[in-house]
Amino acid sequence: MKKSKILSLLLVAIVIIASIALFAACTDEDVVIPESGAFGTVLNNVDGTVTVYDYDGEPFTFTPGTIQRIVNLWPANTSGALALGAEPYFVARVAGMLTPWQALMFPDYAALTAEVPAAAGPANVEGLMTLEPDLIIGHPSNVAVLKELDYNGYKLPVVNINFTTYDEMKITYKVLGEILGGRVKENANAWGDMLVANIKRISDGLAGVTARPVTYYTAGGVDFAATMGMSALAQSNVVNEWTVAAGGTHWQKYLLDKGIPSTSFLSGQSVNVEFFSTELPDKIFIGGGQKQALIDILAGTSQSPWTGIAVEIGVENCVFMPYALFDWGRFGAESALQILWAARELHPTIFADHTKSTYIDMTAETIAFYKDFVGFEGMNTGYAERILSGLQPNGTIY
Amino acid sequence: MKFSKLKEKNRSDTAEEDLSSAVFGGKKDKLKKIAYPIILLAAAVLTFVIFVASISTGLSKIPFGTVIKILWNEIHKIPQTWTNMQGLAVIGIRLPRTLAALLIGSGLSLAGASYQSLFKNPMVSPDILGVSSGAAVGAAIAILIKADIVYIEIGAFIGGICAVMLTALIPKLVRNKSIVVLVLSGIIVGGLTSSLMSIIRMLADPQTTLADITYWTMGSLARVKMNEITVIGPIIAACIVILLLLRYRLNVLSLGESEAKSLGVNIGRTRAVVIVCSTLLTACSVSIAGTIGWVGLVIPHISRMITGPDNKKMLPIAIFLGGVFMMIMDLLARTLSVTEIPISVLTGIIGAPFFFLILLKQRRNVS
Repeated sequence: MKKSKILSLLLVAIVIIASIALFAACTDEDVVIPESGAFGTVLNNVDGTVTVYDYDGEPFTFTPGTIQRIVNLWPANTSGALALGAEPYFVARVAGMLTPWQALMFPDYAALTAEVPAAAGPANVEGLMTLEPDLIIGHPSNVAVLKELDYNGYKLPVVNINFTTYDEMKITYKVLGEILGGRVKENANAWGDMLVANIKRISDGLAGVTARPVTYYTAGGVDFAATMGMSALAQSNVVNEWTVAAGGTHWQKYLLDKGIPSTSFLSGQSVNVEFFSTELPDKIFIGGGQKQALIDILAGTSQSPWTGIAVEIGVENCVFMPYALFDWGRFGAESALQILWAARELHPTIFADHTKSTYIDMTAETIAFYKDFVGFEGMNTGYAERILSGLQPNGTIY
Repeated sequence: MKFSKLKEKNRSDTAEEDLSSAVFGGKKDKLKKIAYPIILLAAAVLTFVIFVASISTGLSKIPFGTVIKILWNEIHKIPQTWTNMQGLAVIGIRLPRTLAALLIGSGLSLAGASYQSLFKNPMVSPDILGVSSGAAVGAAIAILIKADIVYIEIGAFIGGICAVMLTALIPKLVRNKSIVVLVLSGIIVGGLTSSLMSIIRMLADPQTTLADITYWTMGSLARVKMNEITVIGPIIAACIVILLLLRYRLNVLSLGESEAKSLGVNIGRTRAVVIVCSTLLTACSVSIAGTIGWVGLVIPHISRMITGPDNKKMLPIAIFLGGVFMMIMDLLARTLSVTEIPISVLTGIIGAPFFFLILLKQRRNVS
């Protein structure tokens, strides 16, 4: 054998031995996971585990396929996870937050007897531990406490996948998809694509249109009646994002543009009806359940200063938002459809005229979403119309 | 009269106790005939039993032997035969909560008993004097500006001391030091602090600080951490020791100012120390557990029923019973439901009817 061949073989042998040594050196204990990272960052570790970084920038490491039991302390996030296909993983449902549509579309979830609290605030940690979860998705108000618990380095499997904007929402679903894998992962990616496509569709339809009607969002009928209109959410979240995407102007933005400071009462506080009457929006979107109180006000059968406001704006411009797994205008997966629905309401001549190419068939869109994306085989036109009207599956009002 | 004579006077159990009995409307109970050391020992044993029961009980079913092993492991390392989840439940959740309940219950009870002696008014408590609500306002302001736990405690103390000073000032301003005016002063201060709390809530972020502030107003030990106990524990312990050392002077104060002066007690300094310590006890409690009602009112009454109005006997019993009461309340809060029950809800549900029964019994005794 020639000297050069021997040298070549030696070189190859050294490379192989070095590779094996290097691989052996990378044992479990040597996997170095950075203590912080950007929300949604995914690391595929050499030991086969995966690390994702949550909203707090903290790592959550898991072995793919081992997360089989989850509890979710945030109702909005729960509805989103259900829509993505995470129903089989839930071991408890959020107390008092099961909507009739969730019960219809996710009977296994509805049948769960174990419950976790819906209210913001401290969770009963031992109660959570009895459920033996592989993953706890915390509520923004209690996730820090859960994360702090430590026993000789052992911590609860808690992640904070929180969001207020569409970008964060996409990351949240992406992280959940990475952790649970399978259909949830596919749906998480598909949801992001759907959101982008819907925003573009409306943007294209509104090309050349300058009108941007002012919209006001209220949480529900009881709030409207009792506290004279609660503007549930301020400008810096998805409510503003779908308003803008649908071709509207958030009432807060409208006030700010006029030089009126309006931050505190738009963050969940009552709005002064006298002030409101001087700055009327073009459209009031009403979310949540318990709508009868507001219907009575609008019809004038219930005494309220808001009756006059509704007459002034036009009763037809006080609209109930669709409601199913969650309020379409809030933080659920249906928020992607809300953009299309709101665009139709704000610009009917463009999106509700079936003779135009920009026409949006909301019934068809709704059926497709719940049947193809959510996976509810029983979806039909009747159900779609009830969802769009904010009604229960049996057609009754909340 | 020097202090040695004063102690002698206390031991004699004569005029002073009679006057205290008149102030608090109590009568010698049959239980008082039982030797005091036995009562004290029984209270201490009961406290220990409830402490162990509290650590051993929870929604996760952990065998008693395992709980003992987990606790022993914290003192002397032994091979781990329990799961990490069990260790977390005992060391991470139950132990800090139980310790906090013991400290807070003892502290609030002692604060209530001290206030009652100082103001010569059995209806006085940290809640009625506005201390709790004032401390809650101070803590809420600190939470609003996202301050650290130490500053929350400082805020609670400042709020509490301001509230009690205001409550004590009003009767002086109206030149009427009757019980009714003092209680009315507490209502005035309570109304003011309630309004301040509403303003703070309006300014709070609904997603973060509002939930925290709401938590303070309802009271809970769910968020208590061991490092917080290491901060407030020594403060509470120091205040308890100081108030126990002053229990003879509290007896003398209840005799009236002239009598106390003639017995050589510095009235102003004693009052100031008692108010500061009681307020500090309340503020420490509020700072880690929020507003917890009824403990400072009901437990001193029960203690007084057992030992009589003599502070030197009553205060130690109040400390033990306050701890026992709060540990039981916390146990119920974390085991009755998978949802954490606010502790003030439980102390109110149990404390209010219990207090009614006490009043009923006292009325019968008087009649």
